[in-house]
Amino acid sequence: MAQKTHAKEYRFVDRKVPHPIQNWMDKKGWGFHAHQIETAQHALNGDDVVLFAPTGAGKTLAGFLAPLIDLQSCDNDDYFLHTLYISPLKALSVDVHRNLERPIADLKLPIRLETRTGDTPSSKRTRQKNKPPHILMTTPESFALLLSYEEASDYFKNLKFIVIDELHALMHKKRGDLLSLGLSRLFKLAPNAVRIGLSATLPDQTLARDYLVRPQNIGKIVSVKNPVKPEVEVFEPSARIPWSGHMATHAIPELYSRLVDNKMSIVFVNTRAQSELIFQELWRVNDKNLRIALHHGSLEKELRRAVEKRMAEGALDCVVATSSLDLGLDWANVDLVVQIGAPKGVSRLMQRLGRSNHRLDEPSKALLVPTNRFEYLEALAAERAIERGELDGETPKQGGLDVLAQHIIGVACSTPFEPDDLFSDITSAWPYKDLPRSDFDRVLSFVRDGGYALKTYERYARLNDYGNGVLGLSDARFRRQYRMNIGTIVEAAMLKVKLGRRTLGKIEEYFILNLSPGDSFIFGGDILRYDGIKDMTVMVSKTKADTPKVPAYAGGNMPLNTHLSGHVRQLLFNQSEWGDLPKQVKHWLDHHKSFSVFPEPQSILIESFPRAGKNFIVIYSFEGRNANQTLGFLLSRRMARMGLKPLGFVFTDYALTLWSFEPVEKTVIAALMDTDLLGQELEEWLDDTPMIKRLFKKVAVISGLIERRLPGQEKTGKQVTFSSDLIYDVLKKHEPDHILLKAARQDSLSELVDLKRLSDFLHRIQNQIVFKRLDKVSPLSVPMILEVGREMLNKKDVEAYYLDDLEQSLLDEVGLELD
Amino acid sequence: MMKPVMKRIEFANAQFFIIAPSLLFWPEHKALIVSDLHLEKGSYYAEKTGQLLPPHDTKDSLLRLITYVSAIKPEKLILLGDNFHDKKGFDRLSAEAKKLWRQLLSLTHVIWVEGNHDDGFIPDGVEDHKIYWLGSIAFAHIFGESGAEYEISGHYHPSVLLHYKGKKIRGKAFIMDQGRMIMPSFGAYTGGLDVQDPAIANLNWASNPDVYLSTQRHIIKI
Repeated sequence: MAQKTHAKEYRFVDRKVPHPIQNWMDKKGWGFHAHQIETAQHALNGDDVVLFAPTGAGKTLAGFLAPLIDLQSCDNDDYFLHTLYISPLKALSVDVHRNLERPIADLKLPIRLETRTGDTPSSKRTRQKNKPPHILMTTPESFALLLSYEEASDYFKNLKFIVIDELHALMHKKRGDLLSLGLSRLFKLAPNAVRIGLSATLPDQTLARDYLVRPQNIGKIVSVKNPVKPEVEVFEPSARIPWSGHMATHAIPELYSRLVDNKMSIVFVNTRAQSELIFQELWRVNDKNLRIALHHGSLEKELRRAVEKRMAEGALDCVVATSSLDLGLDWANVDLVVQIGAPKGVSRLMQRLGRSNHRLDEPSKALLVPTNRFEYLEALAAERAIERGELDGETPKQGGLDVLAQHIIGVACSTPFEPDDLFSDITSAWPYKDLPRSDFDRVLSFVRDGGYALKTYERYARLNDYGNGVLGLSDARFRRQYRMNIGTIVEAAMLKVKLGRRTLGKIEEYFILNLSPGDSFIFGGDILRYDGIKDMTVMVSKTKADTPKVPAYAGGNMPLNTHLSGHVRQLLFNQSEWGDLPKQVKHWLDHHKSFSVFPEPQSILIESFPRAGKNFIVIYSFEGRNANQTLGFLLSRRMARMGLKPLGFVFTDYALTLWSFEPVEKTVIAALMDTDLLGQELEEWLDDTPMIKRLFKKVAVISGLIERRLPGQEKTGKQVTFSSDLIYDVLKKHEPDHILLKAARQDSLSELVDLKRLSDFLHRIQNQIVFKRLDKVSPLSVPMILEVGREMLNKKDVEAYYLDDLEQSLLDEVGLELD
Repeated sequence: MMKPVMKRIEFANAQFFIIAPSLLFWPEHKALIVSDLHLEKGSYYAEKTGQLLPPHDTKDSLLRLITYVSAIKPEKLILLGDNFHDKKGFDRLSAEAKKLWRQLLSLTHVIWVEGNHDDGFIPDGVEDHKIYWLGSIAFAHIFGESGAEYEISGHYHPSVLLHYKGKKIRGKAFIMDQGRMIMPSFGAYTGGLDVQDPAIANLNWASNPDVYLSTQRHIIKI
């Protein structure tokens, strides 16, 4: 609510708001923006409303204006919950709380405001339960928890407003499913509570509104355009641009001088591993002693909070961050936002760039630093899209059946229910609007007694029939269990990292299992020696080793999205636009043209060539890493079936490369790339890929089949949690139709396989394949062949030598010089 | 049944076969040995914690065991302890699982070595022992329990991770020195404990123990 830093471009209105806060604003010399008044007006009229506005446009005040005005007419001595604020980040709740508290305190308004998250101590929770504040700031998980109280109907009955912040970050994700289901339940308890959604600008605003509104409420849209477009620059290095890899070491010296020139910068990266490396590299050249800090999700919470605090105080010059710093916090003084690596999507990039959009009348400054040649194409395409004011949205998806199971237990914790009623409530939540009754019944049966064909567990049933078809919880212990396991975020098994007595953060267990004592690794910017595991804690000491390993964190690497991918294909085809690429990149593309082609954007280039006794095909799909990976698995199967003897494949966001004993000829390409790949090959692959087990694990935890591994629960040498892999195997063998297998399959199709995208792709390219049979590697394929080299390397080999050598010979082969 | 993967090993001056992934066969005595079935572990969790795991674990374990017994036709089958997950497990067997259990008993002579989870429970129709001797080898549930020079035990569910050409293979592990061997677990719901875990590594081994990785497809000495 730092109104003073807002750009004047958002139209101010001179309308007076009938509230003491107007005096406060006057005194500060501030006025309201039109969209703030408009949003409040709709909400006060009883209409649900979604405000779409860029960061820094005063969204928070817009969201709270109606509740504040309304609270004035209430008898404030009562203890009742008037407004619920839900945000995806605890830190954001705390931040908004602080901002809102200021005017309330200055004006001595009789409004009580409290925060409740997973970190709130239990004494305070009890008080909040008995004497609710007027305004409660919370997260989707804590909201679900509140709804599961037996007193929930009393607690929420006077609720007037629900403010949902960062709506765009919740929609079409499992946390959004949880929130939507919670809102559908809340609608039952407080049908008149008005929903106010606050969102970043989205391309499909009607969809976001439909997602949020109550049944039978049309819902209003208030939209604010970004007054000044960000100034985006694609970094042009003087050094040679790498052919592959993601480490950006070529850009470090020049990047560093930019950091020196700006007062405060955020350097965003795509993965935690990248953040560790870039942080190391920046410190290596930090001869001006800039205050550079690191922020990523594995670092201890206190360390992260300390970094955030120092940022807010202006006590830092640069922060290297992952998406852990993506959302909503208001950083006042950021001059420059740097994105290292591929932007992946336009909206994602815009939100990151918005981190510096807090200065009067000035555009935010952003620097894109691609880490390899293909990423230059993506960066330029993204810059163009921003220039044109285009955005991309997330693909809507059906609500998860696992989240549904969790919700049903939650409802049962609060009150007995009739399944028909519950079904109709649930289908009023947007992600579940198309939920088949049969799926609901099977999830309900899972919640009840496991839903197994053998009814052996009836006597352990979690739900009892209370008569007349009303179901209720059978035992209070399930209430405790539900509360311990709430939420949709399932982390990989993590171990604490301790340096002496100081906890540095958490690290993936599987990374540590691959280390031997004495090995070193980078964590939190320090090079640490792994000393051993003690009581499920990783003990480390500081070291100065030369070749530390970088933890390969699971996940976090999202695919290039469809929208941006279309722009990249367009850019490759439109040679007139190549002039804006760095010379090295343009030279590469020009050279490729003399070898092969760049087909029209709706077509696809597939090259086939021999190299070193093997035959390669490169499929330039630009469909993102997930779809490319799936395609790799499916094509391997099909090539084996065709007798082509495939040996392996590698994939990036841009292309897929397979190699085989037998060459792929033009005659077989149509059969190879047929849409029926999504039939038999897909089924077979889903049947034996171990990757689906990862998703099953999440499903098993979220649905309540197995319990979450909680900190402090682990004991050395004793198994306390169940391996979900074992359950998966048994279930698949003996009960393949179980609803949780269906849930995992649904998730795998949307997340892992990227089925919709793959299917769209295969349909698009039928009769659009431009096949080039070459006698040697093409320039465009050089990065892919380097990836192949990387893949085939034994980790213990001298990687750098080998890759340099391979790069040199590849460039010789295609006649490109080392520039 | 597919032909099982087997590997001949020498242990305690005798010839044994490891049968992938978690059985041991002693041809001299026609004895088949399995450890840690933990039958009815699923229903134990249902009763104790309310976690309703798929109730097919006993059926799965017994069906697999019956397949091996039918194919190998051992004279005796040694169950090396923790045969049931708890002492009331037997009472929770479904009708179908009970039938499989009876079928198993009808196929061979079953030696029941008691484990800590069995907690004194002994079903009908088995020959029960705290420690069972065959030739010069003692069969006990827990390492060192017999005090014998030659001993085969279970209890720890050893597993091992192998790095092979950039890939990782995790599987069950047989771990042994000259005199003592620990077998992996057989039960469907039994997880593994890495052989490097202090609970296994710090046992009173006479020398640096050998480890065999055993998956469905491979048995590899590490």
